[in-house]
Amino acid sequence: MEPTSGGGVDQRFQPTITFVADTPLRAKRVDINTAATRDLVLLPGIGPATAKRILAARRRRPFIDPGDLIARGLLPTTVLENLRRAARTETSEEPVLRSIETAPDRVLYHKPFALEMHFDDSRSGVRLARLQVESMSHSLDLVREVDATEREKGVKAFELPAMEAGAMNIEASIYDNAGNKDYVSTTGMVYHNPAFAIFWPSERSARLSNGAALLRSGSFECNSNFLLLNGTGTATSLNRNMTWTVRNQSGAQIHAGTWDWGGPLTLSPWQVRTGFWFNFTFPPGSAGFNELQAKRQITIEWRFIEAGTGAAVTDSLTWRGIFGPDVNIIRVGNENFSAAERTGVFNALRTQAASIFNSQDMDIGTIRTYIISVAQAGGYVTINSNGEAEDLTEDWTVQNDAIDMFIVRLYTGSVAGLSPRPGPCDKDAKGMNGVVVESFADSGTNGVATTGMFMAHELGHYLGLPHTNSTNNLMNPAIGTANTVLTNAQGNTMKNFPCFVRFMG
Amino acid sequence: MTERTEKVIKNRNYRYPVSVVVERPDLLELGEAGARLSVELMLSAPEGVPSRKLRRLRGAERSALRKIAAEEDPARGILLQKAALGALGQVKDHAASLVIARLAQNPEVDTRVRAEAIASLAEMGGEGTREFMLDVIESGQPEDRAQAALALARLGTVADVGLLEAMAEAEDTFVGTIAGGAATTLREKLHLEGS
Repeated sequence: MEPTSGGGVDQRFQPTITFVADTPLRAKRVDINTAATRDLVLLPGIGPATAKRILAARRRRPFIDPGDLIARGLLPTTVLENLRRAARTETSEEPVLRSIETAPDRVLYHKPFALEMHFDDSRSGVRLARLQVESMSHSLDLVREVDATEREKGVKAFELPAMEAGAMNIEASIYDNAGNKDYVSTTGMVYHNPAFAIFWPSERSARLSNGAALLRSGSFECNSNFLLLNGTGTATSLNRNMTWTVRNQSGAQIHAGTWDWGGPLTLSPWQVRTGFWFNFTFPPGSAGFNELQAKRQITIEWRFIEAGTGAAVTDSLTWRGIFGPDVNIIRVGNENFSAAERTGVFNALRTQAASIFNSQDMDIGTIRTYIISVAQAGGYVTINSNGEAEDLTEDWTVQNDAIDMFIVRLYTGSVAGLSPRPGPCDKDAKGMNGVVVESFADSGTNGVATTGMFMAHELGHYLGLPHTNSTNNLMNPAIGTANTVLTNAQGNTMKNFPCFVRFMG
Repeated sequence: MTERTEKVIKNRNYRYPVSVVVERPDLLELGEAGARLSVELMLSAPEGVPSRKLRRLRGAERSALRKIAAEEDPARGILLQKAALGALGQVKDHAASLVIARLAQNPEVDTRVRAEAIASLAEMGGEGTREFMLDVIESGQPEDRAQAALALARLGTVADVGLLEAMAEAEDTFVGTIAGGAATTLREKLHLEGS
């Protein structure tokens, strides 16, 4: 029996590219990938006709970086330069971080580059700059002082090391002498030359080279996303037929096939094409199913051929049936959660928390959602002490073999989550027998990521992990959105937890 | 002096080894800017900051804590603001009480920030706090009134028992439940006989 497979394109990946509008309102930022016409025309040099063309162009495909506006004939270079150096406003009370730019404009893999923060100084003077970069090969958190020359120029540059190709998430903050702050986040790209494909397990981190083969409706599913990068100044295309091969742990081929994309995949100069997905389903009786069922890994290889040169563009991922706990999300005071926040909470667990666990061959298994209405929850709608959090988990239990994770919208004090360490296997046991996490899924740029991090951190405690002071470790007591590291020892502790964690295959 | 740590994480599940680099100057040497970042890092702890650590905050750091409490963070939304409000309550920073009271009464701010501000004021206590809570019960939103009822359980007088019991009867949502619990707590605290 053979697996079923297939691919397609959606537009989930969309970078944020912001400019500062020419308006008396301080720091009105306009993202060219999402802004309405009325906001686009606030940008210097952009009139209604250009705004209309930008809207039409981004409907076809989002802009990947500012240079895309020139490459696609929408703006002359001079206008873009003016946008980048948008007239400095009078020095205001608070600093304004206008943009983050790369030098050179296009960053190539294995080549050092710089990231520049362009800012407007404040009356008290910008004193500190913080740059956080998450790329395929680097996790940087750099805090540096800003000197008088940099303040005068309004530019703070960070020289960065050579990186591997792929997307990079960039966050920048500046702080002035009065303790004021401004912040910008954006997505950058490290290009590859020649054309390049990067596959990653769906909804997970692109850093991962492995995926969780999930047993769903009796079959194993191996789902991936990918992007195509053209890091050259010339257009190219990949032939419409892509081949794929599935190999067992010993490297022997067990399945193979082709997929027709319906036409060549064209890549403009310096283009990143995103939103591709390719999924496999291995039914019982197929060789792939048998390997995964036997707790052996499989490798899936994809191979495109570049038209003209005939060069192969390949990538591969390994897949295993892996370990993990099922989790019950229990929304406390359900009516208070907006639809967006409910989705955000689910994605925080399914995407962010699971991605961290994936790095140790773990995953979040089945997520079931339960609700406690405002009337049912009574005083638990807001958690006002750790004792109350403990009582909440004692008073409410879902009778199944999954960890109960109570999501509250308000946990007062400086606390945002709590879990026993380790958690009990008997959910009817006295004392705290579930995890409580405060949701920030509807707040701030990183709300979903932060909530997911808190969820993973508290689940880590439930599965026996103590705090550690190790930098960027998930179990560091002070966590940010870059705390994604789990050591092998931590992974083993969780995998060997005596209950809830099961082999998902 | 800048402290720089570098390590490389090699994990078979990562496509490439990942270099983790953290670079920090001595933040406490960098005035209000450094103090703010230092306090932000401290407030990012999911299980909260111990009171003894918060009580050690002085000068620029204490001022940064107040500043963070006063407005939503451009990067992390209400997370840091809420944590700062909670921290100010923990250390009973009465100098911040006016700013916190304004937040507690501002209908424009996030419901959770308002509720946290009320909880923070209750934690601080002090002159006028009880009267403030009575005002909130009179005119606030449900979440605010619930927090104010909880505050009265700690700060209230005999006269407030009846008010809380009336709230418990009149309100059929979580406010009523909380007010009922608060009435019981206050009764016990004041050694009053059952109703």
